[in-house]
Amino acid sequence: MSYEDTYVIVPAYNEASVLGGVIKELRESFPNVVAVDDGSTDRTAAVVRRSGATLVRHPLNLGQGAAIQTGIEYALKSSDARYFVTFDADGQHKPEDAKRMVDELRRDLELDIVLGSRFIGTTEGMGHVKKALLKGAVLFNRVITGIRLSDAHNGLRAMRRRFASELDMEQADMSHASELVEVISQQGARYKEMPVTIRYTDYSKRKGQSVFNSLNIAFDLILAKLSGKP
Amino acid sequence: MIIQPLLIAGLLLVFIWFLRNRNQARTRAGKKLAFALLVLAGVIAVLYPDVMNTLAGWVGVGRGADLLFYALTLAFIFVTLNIYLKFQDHDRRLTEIVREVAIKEAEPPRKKQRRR
Repeated sequence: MSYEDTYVIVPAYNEASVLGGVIKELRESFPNVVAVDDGSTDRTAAVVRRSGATLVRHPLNLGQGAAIQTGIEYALKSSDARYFVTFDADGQHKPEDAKRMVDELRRDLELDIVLGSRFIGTTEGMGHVKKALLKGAVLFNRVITGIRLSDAHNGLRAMRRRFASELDMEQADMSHASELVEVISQQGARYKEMPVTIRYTDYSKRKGQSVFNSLNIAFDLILAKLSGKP
Repeated sequence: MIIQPLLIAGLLLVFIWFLRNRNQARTRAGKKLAFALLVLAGVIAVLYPDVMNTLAGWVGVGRGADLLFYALTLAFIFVTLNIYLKFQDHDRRLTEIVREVAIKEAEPPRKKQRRR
């Protein structure tokens, strides 16, 4: 099956050492890859230029949520693609999983978004603390938004154009994952989780979020709730 | 002591009211008015130091200096929150402009590299 009608958005911050391989692997299936260089200070932009992906470059570092939003807005503006995939730059996702998620959107026309979950899939090498933390985030999302997901912070997602064009993520940092769940809840969007395999390499562990960042996320979300923002 | 519920209620009210109204003209006008009142109160307190003690007596605080300390604590929290929210607004604007620039200067892959 051809994936000409799909754009894959890869937010990247200082990922020069792995990004080339990730894009190469992606482009074996997906011709349209947009890498958003989030103000990297290494050779990330140069790597993207040689990779055959579109380079969209933040002049300064904003955070992963902002990078994804930029990539989606660019893809929406410059194409009439039907599906949009978000894919982490550190090599933890597998392109086959992304393909299965897009296929699911093609098959089930009611679906707005498909979210990857590492808890109904296989996980390679996750630590205990990380596991407990992610479970906590799931519970937090459930309490705040009422949406039951098994995995709160998975970077692999596939969405339909309609849903992508209504996405307006404001949280620049990692809180965007919870913000996305909130958007799903408010729009009453049809969502589905699919098992995906996460490769926890030493590299992705080192690049991953710090445990403390979950506190930041919770704080900002609660503040946003209190101020009665839509 | 009546000062305790007063301080707590004041804190909560200011916090919630401020979060909900922060960008409206009325809020900005309110801030200026509050500032003017503060200056006026300061002048009165300096001219008639006993006023602070009397006020403190009314709300159940020992001395005027203590009342001033409590009021200052409230004001400090208010200002901190104000700055935090202001920064968030600035971040949001910065994000918009950075995104605009990034999209405008996007570099699509060169033709020969594109797979068909």
